[in-house]
Amino acid sequence: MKRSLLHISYPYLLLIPAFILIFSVLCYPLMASLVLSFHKWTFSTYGEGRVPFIGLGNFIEMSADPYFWRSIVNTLIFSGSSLVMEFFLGLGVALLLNRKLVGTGMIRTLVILPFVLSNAVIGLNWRLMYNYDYGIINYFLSIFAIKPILWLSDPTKAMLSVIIVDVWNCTSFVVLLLLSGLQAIPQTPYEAAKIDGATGWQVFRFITLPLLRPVILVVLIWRTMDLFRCFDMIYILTGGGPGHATEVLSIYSYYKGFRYFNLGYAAAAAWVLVALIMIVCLGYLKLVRSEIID
Amino acid sequence: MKKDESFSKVMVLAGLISVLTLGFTFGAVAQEKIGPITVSMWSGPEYDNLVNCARYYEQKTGRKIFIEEIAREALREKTTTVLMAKKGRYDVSYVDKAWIGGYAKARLLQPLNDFIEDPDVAASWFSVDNLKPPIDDLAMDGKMYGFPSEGDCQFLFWRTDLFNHPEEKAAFKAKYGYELKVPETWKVYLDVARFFTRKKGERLAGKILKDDFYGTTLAGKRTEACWEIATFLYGYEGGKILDPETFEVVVNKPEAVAGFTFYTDLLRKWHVVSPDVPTWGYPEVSAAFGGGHTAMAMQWMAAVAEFNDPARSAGLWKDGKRLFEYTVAPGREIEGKIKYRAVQASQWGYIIPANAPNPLGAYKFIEWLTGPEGAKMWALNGGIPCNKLALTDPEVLEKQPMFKVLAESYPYRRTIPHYVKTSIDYEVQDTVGLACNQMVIGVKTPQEAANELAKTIEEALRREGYLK
Repeated sequence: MKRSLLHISYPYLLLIPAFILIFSVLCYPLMASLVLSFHKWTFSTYGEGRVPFIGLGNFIEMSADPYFWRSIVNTLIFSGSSLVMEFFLGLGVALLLNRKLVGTGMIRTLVILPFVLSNAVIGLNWRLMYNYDYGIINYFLSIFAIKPILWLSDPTKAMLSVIIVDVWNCTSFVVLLLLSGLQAIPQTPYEAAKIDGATGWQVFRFITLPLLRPVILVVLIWRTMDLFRCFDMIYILTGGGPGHATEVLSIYSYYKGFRYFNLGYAAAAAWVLVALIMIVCLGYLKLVRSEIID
Repeated sequence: MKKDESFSKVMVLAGLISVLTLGFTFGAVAQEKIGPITVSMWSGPEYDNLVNCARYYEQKTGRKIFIEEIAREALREKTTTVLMAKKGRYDVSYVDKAWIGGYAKARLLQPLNDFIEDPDVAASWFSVDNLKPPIDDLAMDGKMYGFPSEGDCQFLFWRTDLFNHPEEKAAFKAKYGYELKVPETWKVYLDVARFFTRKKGERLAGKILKDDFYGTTLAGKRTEACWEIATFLYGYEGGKILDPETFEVVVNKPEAVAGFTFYTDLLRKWHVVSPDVPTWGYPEVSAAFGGGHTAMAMQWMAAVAEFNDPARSAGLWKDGKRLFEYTVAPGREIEGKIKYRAVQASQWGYIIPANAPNPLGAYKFIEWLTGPEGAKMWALNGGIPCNKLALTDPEVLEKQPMFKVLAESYPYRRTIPHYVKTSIDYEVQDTVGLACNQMVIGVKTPQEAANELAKTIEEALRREGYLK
């Protein structure tokens, strides 16, 4: 009996160090930031030796800041637009690469290239390319007699410029996942459809898409989380400017927390971001589940 | 049974890996905490300079110095978190003056007054007077918190080949009725900028332009505009941000708005700068002037080294001849006299954290580093000292002739914010930059942006207890 108890608990005992590590590195900071979001933490309160509990004070103050709401709108625009473009572009490229064409292997390697670069390098390079006076993009436009564009200085164009960079960077990741999903689909349904005389669009709509659904769900959730959290690339490109044109919630939170050291407020903004991501991802899951039930 | 055994083996391996990872993590952290006087410095030429000076100090005094290099973008975050830790790690930290207010309010700094006023500690060759006025930027409520170093100022750079070109001189006089000259007033600055702004295909100094050419530069990026606006804000009609006595926010009063308006109009009304300046900071301004694309530039003195290098600034050199000079920033002329003048300045310095393990050792090091000998060594290594004796030393002036103009700029140096120190200085700096960016891109007029800026600063002052 004793040996049986030890035998059962043995693997769990060995996992304790890993749990301690995960708790200290992941769970504890998360909980600490949640607690912090209910306190007023500034240089003054820290200096006075008391960090007062203010309940929902930070959240209420945030809700009265029009730039907070602007950052949420910017986040939704940036994430939504990038996701739609990356998904459809990625699906198209994946469908092409799924065919047995000459040079597919090399094309696959080239397609992945943007994704392996670091966001900081991407941001710096694109900032140079977008330069109004000396950037290569405006140079090529001038060859076609197109007037130079203020890619990052014009508040009506800056968000589009940032979206273009993200789509360039991350479509390859979508291609990778969707391509692996396409290659995992068995050939039998396609053969049966061919025999039945189905058109290409019918094959895509009634066979490919339904069988690809689990992978599509993974792509949507993963990219949504990444897009909502995107910080470094946007910060290097525009710093959230011009004005507040590209200030997404992560950058808004960064300024409040790490520039002004209003840490309680910044923690509150960060948790709003977490809530947003969870709502969107739960929405995906509900949509997919209801389609399966149907 | 066999399956259970292999499962156990996997679990043992997983557990061992976890423990080892944990051990290495704590071990690595423990390894970093060794060393005598530890100084934190951001990466770049200042780090290299500090290493050289520290090695000399070690040989001279036998006291060990350990220097921790921190990425420039991460300096503030890293410094703040280390200063707030219960157990100190740094004995000396390199900080910007705008951080002093917040750190002092949070009681993260050790006042230097006790060391300075102790005859058993302070060296006889050291005088605080030689560090004025920069040392005032690192003081608050009568307490000195740091010794200054790297007090840069913005100069007005100009193209000698264009200003001295006979064709251009004649055309300028014909248009404006006076001789083309290096601007000392904002009126002349604007006239010269408008005169030299030309489109691609037009003629400049006898040549046809291949690209648009601009009269001057402007740093309008959100995070960098605060490093240019002081020249205009304080120097156009003498505007301020805060009243030093009452903490009343005055940044939206007419004097300040006049300065903002002149700054904004350079792009929005007169078009004498590139339309892309809302994204411009130090690198872009240097690239524009160094590449020969503008006639003038408002740029930091530190850029002189870059402009003096033909490989990096091809537009400023021709046949081995330098094509630029620099001078003090212009001022506002009223009734024939320059009444208002301000020079955008930055001020960095060395502070001793309240949790410093070796505060006395730290004090002796920064006393030497910013004193006559250390400051001179710093200057000869390419740095910008704040000690008057070093700045006027003949050997230093021979190697760094631009220090002469720096010394001329000193009476006019202004930072954001100036005149008053609070715990929200850094936030003020940032929000001023944001307001400037909004004006320059045209989403708000200077008055609208200044009103919003005033409201933001008031809220921050109320949050920190300066206003009720």
